[in-house]
This record gives sequence, C-alpha cells and structure tokens, in this order.
Amino acid sequence: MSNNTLTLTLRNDLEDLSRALEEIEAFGESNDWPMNWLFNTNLALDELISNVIKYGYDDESPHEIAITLTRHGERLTVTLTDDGIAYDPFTEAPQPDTDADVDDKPIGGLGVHLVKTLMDEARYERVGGVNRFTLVQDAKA
Amino acid sequence: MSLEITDENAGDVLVVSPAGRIDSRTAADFEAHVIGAIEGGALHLLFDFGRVNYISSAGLRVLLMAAKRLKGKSGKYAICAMSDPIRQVFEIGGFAKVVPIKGNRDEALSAW
Repeated sequence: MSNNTLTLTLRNDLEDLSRALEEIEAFGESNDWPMNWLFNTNLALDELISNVIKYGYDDESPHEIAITLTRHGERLTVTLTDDGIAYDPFTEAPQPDTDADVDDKPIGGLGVHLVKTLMDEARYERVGGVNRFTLVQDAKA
Repeated sequence: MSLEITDENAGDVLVVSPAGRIDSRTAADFEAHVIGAIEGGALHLLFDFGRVNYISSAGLRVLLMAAKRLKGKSGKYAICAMSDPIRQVFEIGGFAKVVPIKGNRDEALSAW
C-alpha cells in the first residue's frame, strides 16, 4: 500500500523552503500522485510560505513552519501552520486586476490570486496563536 | 534546485533560456540576468521556457518588470515553448496581455 501522508517542518528561510518543496515533489512522484497536484501544491506553498517568511514575523528569531499532506482517494489536503503574525491573505490581500495591460498591471496579490484559483478550496483560520491554511485539491477526471 | 540561464543571439534577438524553477528563491537571479541584459542594450528579447518546469508570481513579476522597461523602446519581446501548467499560470495571472505567447522558438523567431 502506498504511503499517503507526509509531514515536514521547515525553518523560515527561502533555502529551507526550496528543500521542503523538493521533498514534497519527490514524495508525490514516488507515490504516483497526479502531476497537477504536485505543480499546484508546489506553487501554492511557494506563494504562501514565501509571504510568511518575508512579512509574517516581527522579530529576528528562527521560526518553524509545518506542512502536512494527506491523500484520501481522489482528494489531496495540504495544511500549513506558522506562528507568524495573524494575517488572512485570502481576504486581506489586494485583488489584482488581471485585465490590466503592461502600464497598469499591479503585482501585489497575484500569488494569492493564483493559489485561490488553482485550489478547489483554500481556507485560513487563526487557531491557538498560529495561522492555519487548508488547501484542498480534487483529482480532475 | 537551482536556476540556470543561457543566452544565445539569433540575429537581433537575444534568446534567454532559463532552466529549472523560477520561484521565490531563484527569481532574484532571473531578475538580475534579465534587467542586466536590458540595461546592456538588448532590445529584442525572446524568453524560451522550454526547460522551465515551474514559475511562481515572483517569476511573473520579473517578466512584468522587463515588459515595463522595454515598452516605449523600439524593440519587442515574447515568450515561447511554455508547458501547459505554466501557460495556465500565465492565463490565471492575466499575463497573456503582458507578454506575447508564441509556440516554439523557430516559430517565434521566424515571425519576429
């Protein structure tokens, strides 16, 4: 039986984020997860975690970020927790104007927009002093 | 995973071929490379994405910066050889309006 859960933690730096994403990709490939799950999960985690690393802490101390991926049949659920400042990007990030041309195109909020669009569900909660993100993808027929 | 970037000249066109992931960690290298080329005088830029396996908004931001810098000059820019998942990211982000998307490199260059 294939292994359907992966849990990992990383430090709040971009090098460690890169290592974690490689580990997730290797795990998904070895368990034959759909390629679009891997691409979309990689993108969503890169967007959300890089924001947390850049803007989420008001001190210089090291912090830990935890990721769990669980497959139930045709559904992949990814949870992400961090102990950064409370921030819900899904409601608080600016909505980008994706119709704008070169001169007017804003860049803020684009990553969050990609995450919301690529995921079937993207939720945020503040629980027990941590930010918790839940990302759900269903396998496409 | 790192990002390697190769430059080739095809007539007046500088073909920039990144290989690997353009993400929050590697976008700064991509930015330095592309902006350096433009500041060095490149006016015609073709991004060949045939060996890019992943791009995040940090990478899209670099393409937007390049487009803003080249706009108003006499040159042009385009991107070619994108995989389907990367094309989907471009479409969701509204980047088809920012950078013209071409098929393969030969098609892009022959229509330059």
